[in-house]
Amino acid sequence: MNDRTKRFWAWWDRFGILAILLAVGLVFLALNPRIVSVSNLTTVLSRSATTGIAAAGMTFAICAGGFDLSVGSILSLVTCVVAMNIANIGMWPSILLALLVGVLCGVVNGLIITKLHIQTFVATLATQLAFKGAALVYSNGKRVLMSKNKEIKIFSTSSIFGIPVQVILVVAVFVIAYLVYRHTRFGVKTRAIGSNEAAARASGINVDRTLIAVFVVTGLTAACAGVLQSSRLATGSAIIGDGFELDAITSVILGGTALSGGKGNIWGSFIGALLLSLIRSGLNILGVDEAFQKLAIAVVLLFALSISGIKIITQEAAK
Amino acid sequence: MAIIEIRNISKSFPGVKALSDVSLSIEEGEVHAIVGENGAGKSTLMKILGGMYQADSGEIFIRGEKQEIHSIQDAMKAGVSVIYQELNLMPELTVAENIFASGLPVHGVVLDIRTMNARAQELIDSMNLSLKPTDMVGMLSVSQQQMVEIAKAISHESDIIIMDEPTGALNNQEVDVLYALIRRLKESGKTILYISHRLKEIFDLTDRVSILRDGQYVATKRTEELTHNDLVKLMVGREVDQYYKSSGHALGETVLEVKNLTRAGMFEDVSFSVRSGELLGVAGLMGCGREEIVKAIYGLIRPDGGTVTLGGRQLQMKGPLQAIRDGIGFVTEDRKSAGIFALMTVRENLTMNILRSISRFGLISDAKEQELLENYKKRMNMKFSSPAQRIVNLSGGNQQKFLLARALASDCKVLIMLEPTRGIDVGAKAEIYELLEELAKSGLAIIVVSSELPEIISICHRTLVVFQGRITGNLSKTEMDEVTIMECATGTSERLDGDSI
Repeated sequence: MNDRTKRFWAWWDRFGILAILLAVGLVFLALNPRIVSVSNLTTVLSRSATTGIAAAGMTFAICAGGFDLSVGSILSLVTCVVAMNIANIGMWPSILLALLVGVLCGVVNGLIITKLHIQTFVATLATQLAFKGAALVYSNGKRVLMSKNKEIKIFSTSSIFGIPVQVILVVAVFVIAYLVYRHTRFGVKTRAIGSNEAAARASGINVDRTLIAVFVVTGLTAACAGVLQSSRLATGSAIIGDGFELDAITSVILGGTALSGGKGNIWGSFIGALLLSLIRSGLNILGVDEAFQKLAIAVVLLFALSISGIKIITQEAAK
Repeated sequence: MAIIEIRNISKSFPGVKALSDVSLSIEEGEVHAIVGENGAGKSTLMKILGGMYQADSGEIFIRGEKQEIHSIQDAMKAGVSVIYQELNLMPELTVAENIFASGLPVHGVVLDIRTMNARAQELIDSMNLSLKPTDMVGMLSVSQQQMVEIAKAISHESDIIIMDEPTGALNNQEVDVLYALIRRLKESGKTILYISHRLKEIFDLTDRVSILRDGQYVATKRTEELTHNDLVKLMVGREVDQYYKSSGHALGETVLEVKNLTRAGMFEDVSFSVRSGELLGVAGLMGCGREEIVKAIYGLIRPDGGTVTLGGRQLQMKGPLQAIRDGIGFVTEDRKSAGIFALMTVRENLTMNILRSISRFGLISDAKEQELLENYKKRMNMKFSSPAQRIVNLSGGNQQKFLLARALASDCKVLIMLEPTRGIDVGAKAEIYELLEELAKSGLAIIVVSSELPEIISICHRTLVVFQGRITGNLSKTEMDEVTIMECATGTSERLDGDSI
């Protein structure tokens, strides 16, 4: 492989997803300029907040060589916790409680994975059911409306200096996630485990503790997304988060984080979430049916992944 | 005073007693070799010292204090660092991050990348390496990775450093760097436990040697009081000819003919031929392109130009599948990651290449598989407990026999074998040499690529030497000696008129 292709792939690893985002934006601009108007782009950004926040956490799980399939159920459970408690203990305490529940779910995931030696995929598949079950039991299987506590809406409706609070939240989460990923021991250890778990162990890294922390991160970010979702809908429900984990995982994969572990791209996950949000919004405005929206997302995902495939083919050919 | 005192250590794995009642003591500040055949238990013993395994019974004392080593962290606290045989590095992390993974420097919670890189640079400089702290480990060569591994152990400032086959992937120059490093570590008062298959290194480096055999302690001797033969005898418990002497037999027609094979940046204009019954060596320094040439013949690397003819027919070279059908057998140099299917059974490992020919209506015939296994077991003296045993639990020598059997099972006419005896013990080495000789006698054409010159000199009828992707030597048996081969391998002379006798 010559230097130029090498440099191209290095560039693609970092900015490829951004290029795809711009390309999709240009296509929409041609179809209907309203989609890429400032006001709609603000909506796109706001809407990406829940998926984005969870994707930030998911990046750590995938980077550690794992998966967290339970984030959708955590989100549902959290909306129920907020909705069921807000009338009695007030908004901030109920949010705090909700975040604690998210952390607890993460600890449970982490303990199952490290102490029972169950693979992350299977363990979180089980807890996905467990957390959803817990939410159903807790909410009696009903939607819980927060009609008397409209203050919860401030997260999804208000703005600071003209910037929606949701946007501020998602950007803040990604800034923190980036700093943690790049500039803390935890970040290095997470990458180390995803890169080669046996080696990480042999290097004296406490793999179990780090993995538990990783799942606390995904649990906590899922809980933050849950609080935001309950604010948007002023509702708690055990089925709100169904399928949510797939959006989060799709964002991370689109963003260029390697499923094989070790190589993450935090900002890529953000762009990935934006891209999903932009495609949905654009297709809505164009009046495309929901079913076709799914197909469109599938096409974009396959396109992004096939480019990684081409990368592997060129590298193989160079051998 | 003894710095390490090992008392009555025993350790069993399912079906094997790896160590039984081993006691030995290591003096402070010495370089102490632990030797033994594969399966003798030396790696197990080191893993117990390093906290990777726990002993079933027995005690470990360090500086007279009894140690409870239950984890790698415990071992590090007790002052023991281990450089394991398998590389324990994280490819997606930088050199500095790998070195300091267990103790990353921080300001509060923020990683202090500058300090980390500076300390890594100091370490790299002190080891005379040409690396950058910010290099991604995955992009380094195997030998550079090995050096990073050593740097990591040194960075822990342990008093006791255990090196398990540290030279496995190093070239001569890098081995010299390692020697110098070990001597410097010794001068600074460190104690080094050195495990190696290469007896030369033991004699070059160590003060004393402890020998293990079949999980039991045999003896500890001062190295200078031993000869090569003494040591081999102690290791195997019987006399073994370390260098196999081939008996010589008549060669047949040319089987394989390679003409002008070229791949830009790897090798250039390579032409040679192999005759039926011939054992052809391929020598050269690491990175000279010798592996790439034979991998191209097997279809693992696509050449830019040139032809390969087998039995008069020009090969299409579409890939390994085609190569196997054309009658080329191949045994990799990288047994662990490109050879064995670690978690599959020995039987499945044997028949991987020939599933189609032992299947009927899409079902694999158990009977045929079993028959093949029995055949090769007898022919190659393979040792395994049952056909369903996982291959990863066999010794390196037995795994190698399986890879060889797999290649042969597809009825090859040309066998390519890379590093035939890498990481296998003295006894199995002799067996592999004998097998190769027998196969050649029966008319197979064999190409052996090896970095062990004595190996090539003793078993091959003729050898090619590769320098910078070109063949600079074609030496017949009488011309083959280490000096001549090295002259060709370093490009100081060219000798191309050799012939097999």
